Amino acid sequence: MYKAFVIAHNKIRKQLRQPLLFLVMLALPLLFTFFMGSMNTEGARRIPVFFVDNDHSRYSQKVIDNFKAQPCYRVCTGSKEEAVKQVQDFKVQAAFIINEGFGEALEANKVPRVDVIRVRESGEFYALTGFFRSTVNKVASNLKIADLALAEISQAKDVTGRAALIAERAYRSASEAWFPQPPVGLNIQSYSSGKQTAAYNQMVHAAIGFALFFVMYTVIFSIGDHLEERKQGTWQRLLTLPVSRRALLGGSLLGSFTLGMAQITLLILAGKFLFGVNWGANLPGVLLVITAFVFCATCLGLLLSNLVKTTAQLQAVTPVLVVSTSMLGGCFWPLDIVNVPLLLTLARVVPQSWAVTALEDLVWRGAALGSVVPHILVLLLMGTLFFGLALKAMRWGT
Amino acid sequence: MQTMLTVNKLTKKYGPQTAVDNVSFSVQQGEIWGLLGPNGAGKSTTIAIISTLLRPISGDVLVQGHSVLSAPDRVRKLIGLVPQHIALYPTLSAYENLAFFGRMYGLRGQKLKARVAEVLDITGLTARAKDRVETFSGGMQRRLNIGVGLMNRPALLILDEPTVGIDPQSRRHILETIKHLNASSGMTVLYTSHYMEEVEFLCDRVGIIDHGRLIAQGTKEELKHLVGERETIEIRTSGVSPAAIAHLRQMTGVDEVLCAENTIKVLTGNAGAVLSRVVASLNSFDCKIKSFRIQEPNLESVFLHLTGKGLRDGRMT
Ligand SMILES: Nc1ncnc2c1ncn2[C@@H]1O[C@H](COP(=O)(O)OP(=O)(O)O)[C@@H](O)[C@H]1O
Ligand SMILES: [Mg+2]
Repeated sequence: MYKAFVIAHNKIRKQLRQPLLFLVMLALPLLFTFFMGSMNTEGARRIPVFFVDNDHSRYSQKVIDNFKAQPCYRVCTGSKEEAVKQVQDFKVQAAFIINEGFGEALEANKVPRVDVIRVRESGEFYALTGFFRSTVNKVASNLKIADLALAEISQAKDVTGRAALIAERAYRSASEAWFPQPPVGLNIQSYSSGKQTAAYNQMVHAAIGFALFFVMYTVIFSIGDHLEERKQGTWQRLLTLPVSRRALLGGSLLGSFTLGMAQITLLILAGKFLFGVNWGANLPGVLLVITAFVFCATCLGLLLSNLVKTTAQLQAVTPVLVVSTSMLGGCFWPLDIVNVPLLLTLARVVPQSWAVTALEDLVWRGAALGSVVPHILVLLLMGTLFFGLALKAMRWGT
Repeated sequence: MQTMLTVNKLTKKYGPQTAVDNVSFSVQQGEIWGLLGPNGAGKSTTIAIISTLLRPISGDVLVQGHSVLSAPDRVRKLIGLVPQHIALYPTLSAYENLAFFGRMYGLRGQKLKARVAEVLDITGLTARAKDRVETFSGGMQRRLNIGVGLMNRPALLILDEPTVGIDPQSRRHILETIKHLNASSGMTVLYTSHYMEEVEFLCDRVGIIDHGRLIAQGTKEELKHLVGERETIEIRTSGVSPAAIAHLRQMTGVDEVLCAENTIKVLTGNAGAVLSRVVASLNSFDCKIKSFRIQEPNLESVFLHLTGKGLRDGRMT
């Protein structure tokens, strides 16, 4: 045990003896966070909304179609059970349940009530309900005007010369149908933990994505330094000392893991104090997810470094692997904007997607720890799998 | 005297190539045993097996009765290895390197500090203890490389060509340190080299290895007896032609001829009788003789006698 700690300490010390490298590993992610975080990608991100249509009237249909036509919303429809599930899983911002009688109420100039379940209070949510109200209003009046116009036209045999009169009457009828009160009442129900959470912003996403992206480099190269030690002979020397392989491997993993955790902790702090990133209300949860992720990345590094023969090969393979999986996993852009099913399926295979999703759920969707436990388990499982494969691929001697 | 090390019918192959071929020898407690052989002879491979880094195909090694196969951990505690290539952490200081490897032997606290100080003293590096190893000269790195092998006060110190590529002064220091360690604390030493002079200077008993086979072993005197009464004429010239060497080989009274870097070595049973003919022959081939001397048998001539080639390089003309 003591020897494992000494080995871990030695590894960390060696890394810190290259202060430039360490600074770069802190500076680069911050730089990327700053630039990508400042970029306005709100247009690119589509807010997910769920609709349950129990009314099946022209009115409900038109309201949903209207939402679908908006580029800033991604609309899903289905049953009420599905809606509740989607909100609970933070898959959508809110779900509108349009009950039976919605259309009839509008027709009769009554105020229909719509149930809304939402993740939590947010600016996005208010924009969403505002847009819903005005859409209902628009749809209701437009349909009325269309009906009135149709009625006038079907009564009149010859409209020539009477156009002005028809228009005037239609306008008056439409005005009578106008109601000053809100056209729709909303029963709002919240699903979030109710804690203060960070609003979505690009900075949060960039801070999470780049922290995960760069920490992978740190741990992969740190755990992979046994390749360098083999070259310089210290690895072979260690094998001739009374040190168990378990201590050697354990110490190595511990050292790299600690470095990764230190880096990501510094990045979290820097994000908070330099860019004002709000890491949400559930810091222990965030730390747990990060711990699982760094463990997983360290084991991946162990596997990788045992599949290649030299540091140069590791340096060639790592960027390709880390960049491509980080793209898939949503480190660079939110997975919300990806709408290719194949890519979304592939994303589930890379550890980054589980970490990104869990962290975003915690940080800005205000999820409780319980809802990210599956993500943490998946990360730990992936790590264990990588570790097992690494042990199989491991060459101890030369 | 107790046996410190027993190497028993050791064989190791790399693919089809046999690097160590049925090698057996033993080293008694307190002696310096030399393994002499040219590059590629199998010295490092033998050392790697003794130090538990490699497993042999067949045979076994016992260190104080503990087998490298069945009790490698016992063996690791008894030996101190100085590998052929410098195996240190370049970005750590001399002190940190020694302390790290000391901790790997389980040393800690005051004991560790004291031992590091001792080893720094033995290797003459106390003044540079705080400096990074990457700033050291080759000779200093070699000394520290040895120092790491001393951290656990090994019962058996194994040195694999510890003087390769360093200046004569550092080399002298290293050889004298080893001799001193052996004389003062009775540390048993297994020393490999392809320098005849080093083995001659240090070792009590010597094994000669070539192509993975131990072709002779014994005390220096026993080995020299193998050469018999023969002497070596060593001639330094300004340049030799292969034709001249070929001519020398055919001369009656000449047993072996070795030539490397303008120095010709002639192994003969009667130096007085052949010398004038050798000189005349070289003159006729336009080889200018700078100097010559007649040598008593040494390990080099033993190797020449046994293999028909030189130790330093296999370049035979
Ligand atoms: N890892 C290896 N793979 C293949 N061949 C090797 C390896 N190490 C050594 N050899 C070969 O084994 C032979 C003995 O090598 P070595 O033990 O290093 O000799 P020495 O130390 O006497 O110079 C040489 O021919 C060398 O080329
Ligand atoms: Mg060697």
